[in-house]
Amino acid sequence: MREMLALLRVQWLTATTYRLRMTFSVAGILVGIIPIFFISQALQSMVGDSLVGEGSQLFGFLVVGTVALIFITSALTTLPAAIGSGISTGSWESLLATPARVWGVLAGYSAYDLGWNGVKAAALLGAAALLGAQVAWEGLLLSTGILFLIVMAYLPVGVIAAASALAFRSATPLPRVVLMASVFLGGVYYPTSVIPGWLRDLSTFIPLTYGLRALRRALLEGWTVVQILPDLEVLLLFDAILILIAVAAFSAALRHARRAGTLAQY
Amino acid sequence: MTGAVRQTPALLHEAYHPPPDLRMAGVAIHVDSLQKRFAARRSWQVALRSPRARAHVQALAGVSLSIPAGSCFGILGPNGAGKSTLFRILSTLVLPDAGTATICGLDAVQDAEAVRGVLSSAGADERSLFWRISAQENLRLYASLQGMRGATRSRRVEEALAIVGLEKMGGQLVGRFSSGLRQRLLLARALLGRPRVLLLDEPTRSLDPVAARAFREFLRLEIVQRQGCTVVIATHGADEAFDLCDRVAVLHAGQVVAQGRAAELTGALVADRVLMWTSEPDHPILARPERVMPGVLRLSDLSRPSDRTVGDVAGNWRALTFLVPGGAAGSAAWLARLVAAGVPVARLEPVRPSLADLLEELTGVGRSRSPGAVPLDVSVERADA
Repeated sequence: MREMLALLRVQWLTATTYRLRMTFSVAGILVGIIPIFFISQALQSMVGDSLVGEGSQLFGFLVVGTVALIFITSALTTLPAAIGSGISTGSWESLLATPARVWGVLAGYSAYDLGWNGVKAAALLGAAALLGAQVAWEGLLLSTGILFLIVMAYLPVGVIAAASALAFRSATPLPRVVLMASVFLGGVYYPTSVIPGWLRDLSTFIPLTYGLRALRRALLEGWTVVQILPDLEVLLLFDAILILIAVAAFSAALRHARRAGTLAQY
Repeated sequence: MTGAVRQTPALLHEAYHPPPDLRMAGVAIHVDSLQKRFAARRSWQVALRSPRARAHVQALAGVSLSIPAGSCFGILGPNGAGKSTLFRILSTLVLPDAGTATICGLDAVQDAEAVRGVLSSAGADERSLFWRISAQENLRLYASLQGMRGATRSRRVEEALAIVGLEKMGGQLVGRFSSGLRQRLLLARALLGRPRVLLLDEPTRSLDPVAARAFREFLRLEIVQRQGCTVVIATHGADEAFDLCDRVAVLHAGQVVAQGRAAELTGALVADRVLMWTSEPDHPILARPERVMPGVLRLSDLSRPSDRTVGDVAGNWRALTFLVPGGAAGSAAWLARLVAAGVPVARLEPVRPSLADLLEELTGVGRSRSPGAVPLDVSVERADA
């Protein structure tokens, strides 16, 4: 925890020296919601029926999909980028030379980006509510928990990609492949029910399919935890399996890097 | 640990690591037959032609060292000698293939976490600092990672800044620091946890000569003598190693080719070498000095330092190198003989060996002495190369 908080502070202080970038980051989200609003207004009558059970309103559906996308993108890409940069500057080696726990350092590397995306997601949700998105605010707490589980399903993929950077000194396309598959098959911009049958089978292997459905039901329809339990169970299973794989992959990569001497070479 | 090393207060290490088992009192670092090799990069052509073949670079080939606690120890070697690899193994960042490294009685592989509590390394890479935040915040991060909190953390950060003379610049962004200031900050970062052993890799690389001299003085007086820290310096500057260090090991091609007290090492390896400035380099005495004073040899290879002509208004003064046994007394006797024989001598001074001199004597690499040259006897704790 101390590692995470210390690195979070450093990244926050660093980010505050880029004030313009911070401002544009939030402004971009708020401006970006406007075309989503008009497009969803135009298409509402055409797709409304297929959204039953996931909010029924296309605008809210897309906003929730966008929020999830922001988080999974961060979970997939932050760590490999941070580790790659840390290896080339030597900061990764200097962190590992301290008594700090490596998992705490990894959490610290991810924490700021995920936290900042939380702020952006809150701004997006607030703006969407102002524009007329139907949000079941009583499901906000549950939705936060679901988002956490979604992140915990994608963060391990980021850890595996970081392990690859550590072991092989090169970036892997894994995060992009997983991101694209999740966007197309996970129901970010359209419900998985409209995907053709043979492709829909593939979407059952995407954690976002379950996470996003549960998230929409909680946040847009006010479903309770009991009602969305089946989706949460599958999501938890994904989390457990992927975390185990990620821990094993990163530990092996770290051992390999220590043997090969690649902790400070890129 | 011996009395020479101050016991660090229970500020950090005791909180996160068990107290080190000082099985080897008086020895801060003990390295035994350490070996490490790295896979060499192969071209696609080579990889396709022989996919199963593996090429390796031997970074360390059986290094053995013993570094006394509370001393300043120099690892002297050219680029690629294995200095950085040795440091990385000691810092627990690289695993050795064979052999052992013990730091304050802790094994670098088995007790890696505890080792990181007693040993600190100040690398030369300034980019490992966080440039967009202040020096104080940089140190605060590393203090937190070492388990310090609250007032203790603030005090240690201030202390570390004061030790390196940055107490008034702590609030400035590191990106605005000069290279020398960043080097100091790296040192402050390494000193945060009051390490018992401090590794410095080319610590004066980015410093101008004046700053480098001040830094060496500071290291010796403040870090070694006052703080009681064992300092190990990797360098390829012989001057730095011999000025600063009590003991020196010469590393070449992954092997320790010699180690011992700095003075003894230079004495044995490039003993009694003197540089003499004369305006009559062709004087008969200088051509055959052994006929005047037994044991004196004019080094036929005059390239270290070479016969240099100085544009002197009074004549053509040249510097010649001689081997004069007997240290200062021998040199005085030799000078008296020269003066008595009417040889004009402007200056006679001992020659400080360069790394190249040492390596040449130890390994023969780059030896360019003429056939008549006399080999020097090297006997001080010379390692089996």
